[in-house]
Amino acid sequence: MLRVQDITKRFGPTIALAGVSFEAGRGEVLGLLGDNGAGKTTALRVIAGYLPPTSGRVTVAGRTVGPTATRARAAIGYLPERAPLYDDLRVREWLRFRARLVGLGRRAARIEIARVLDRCGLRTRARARVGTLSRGLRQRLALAGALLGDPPVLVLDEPSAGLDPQQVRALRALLRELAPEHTIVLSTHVLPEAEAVCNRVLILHRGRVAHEQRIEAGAGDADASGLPLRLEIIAPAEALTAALEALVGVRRIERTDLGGGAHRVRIEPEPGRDLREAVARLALERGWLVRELRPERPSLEELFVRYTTGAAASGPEETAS
Amino acid sequence: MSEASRLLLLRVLALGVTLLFGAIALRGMLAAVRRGLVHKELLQLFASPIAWFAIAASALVNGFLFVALLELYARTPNVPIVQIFFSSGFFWILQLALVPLITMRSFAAERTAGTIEPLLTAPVRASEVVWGKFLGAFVLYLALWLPTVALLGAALYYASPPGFAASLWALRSHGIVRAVPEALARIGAILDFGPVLSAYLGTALLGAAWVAVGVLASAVSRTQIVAYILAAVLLAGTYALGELPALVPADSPTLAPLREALSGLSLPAAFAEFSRGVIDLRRVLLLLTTSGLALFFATRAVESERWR
Repeated sequence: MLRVQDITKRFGPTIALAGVSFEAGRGEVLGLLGDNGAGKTTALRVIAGYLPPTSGRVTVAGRTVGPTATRARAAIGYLPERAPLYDDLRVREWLRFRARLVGLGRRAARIEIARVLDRCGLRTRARARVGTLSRGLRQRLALAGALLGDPPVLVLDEPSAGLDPQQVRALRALLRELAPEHTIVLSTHVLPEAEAVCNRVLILHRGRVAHEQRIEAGAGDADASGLPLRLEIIAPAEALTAALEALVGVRRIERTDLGGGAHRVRIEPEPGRDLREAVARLALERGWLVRELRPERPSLEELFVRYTTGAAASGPEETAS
Repeated sequence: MSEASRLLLLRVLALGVTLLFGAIALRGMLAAVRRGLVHKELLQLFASPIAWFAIAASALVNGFLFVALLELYARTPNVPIVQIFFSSGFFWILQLALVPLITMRSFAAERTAGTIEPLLTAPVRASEVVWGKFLGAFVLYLALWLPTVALLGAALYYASPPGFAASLWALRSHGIVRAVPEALARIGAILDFGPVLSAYLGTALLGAAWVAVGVLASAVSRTQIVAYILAAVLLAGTYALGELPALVPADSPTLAPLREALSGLSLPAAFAEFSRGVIDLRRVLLLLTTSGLALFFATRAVESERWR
């Protein structure tokens, strides 16, 4: 649906994007993560057709996004950063303007406006002047504008900025509801949000994709092969160490004494092995009390930190100005 | 090829080019209306104090001017009033001050507010956006001149014999088909329609050209103040072109064609003609071409904003 092929973007001597490629299909929610200045907004602007890439190509449903490509742009609903709106119009006037701008007829526009007002929880504010809306309401109105005409691709630059916790939950629910029928690309620097709504994230660093991570909600937790385990157990120290080291597939253990006969152990398996059941059986047979047993997944935050600081040295060099 | 057939060919070509550009312009205007771009401009213009200020200023200045002209007319009744109106500096000063005021926000304000981004990523062409900006401002420009219709009515009232208004009103019993031409004929006996209509046409054409230049100024400016100043300078420049012929020595026969060509660019000269009831097609085309060129460059400026 959306294909980004090796786009670069320079502003004078500054390289904002240094060869970013990815694809996103229908039903996918792709998150762009990255520290400030990593190129998230620039990437989204290029995708939405506001900025031309210095090189590379963006295609939406096979159509190249370009200066005269009004049909490619029609397939994209775009929520720009900071939700720019006309303050002197009323909410319904603004939506009517946007609806006609994307080519909806009068009747279709009326139906669509009612739909997006409902979806974004703005029904009671239709007559308010845009300039009087709070930050969160503005954000929702801009999102409502992006949804007009139900474009198959949604490009959302920090959709949750300025929303209160209740509204953030409503936004997540809305995105989940939209996800199956749409291709959604969003940027955020709120990592829990990315984990909650995205099924894939790209970590951008200095204009490059530093890391790509699938996020499988729920189902993914079942599989812990190759992940280190964290165990808290009450057992005699020597017997515990010996028994764990004797288990098949254990590569290394680290034991910390917590006092009172309790221990915390980090068990590193050989690649591809899931040791949870073996450890549980051992504890059961010996009659040791288990307080906690869980695989250690690297959190998105750990990945983020790893790829936005660790990769710094190998990042694209900025040409001297 | 004979002289006559060459001339015919040239005319056909000119007509073709005019029709082609006219069709392109019409297409852009219709698209801008259909996409709601003009409607939105008007909503925004009339939601701001600028529009009301401009209309009030125009009504005030024109009203004072009108009273002054009536005084003058009372003393020297043979001078055509419409001609004095346009040859007075007030008309030009007013235009020079108000046109940049109504065009300055068109693109500069969108840029400051960042709304240019969602506007240009919408599935519309840059030219349609420019047409929307132009038509919105042009409608407001025309609205500036609406109050003068009332002045015209007042002039008619005072110039007419007693009972004239009542006699016009009495015509309504004849039915609209007969009453309207009859009423116009009676008014025409008092007021010369020709110069009035051609003066309004000239004013509208001048507005089209100047508003287009103002939109261009706004399209290349980052803030509204810069847009205002740039537009005012450009417009003053187009007015100053009228002074160029005076710089060419009048007694040199070799420079006479140049002098004549330059005087074709003179806006005051054009308005001297319009206010006499003379509509010179070359003047009309010059003003229309200025609008077209300015809007073309504005479109390029907006496109380059996106594709820089």
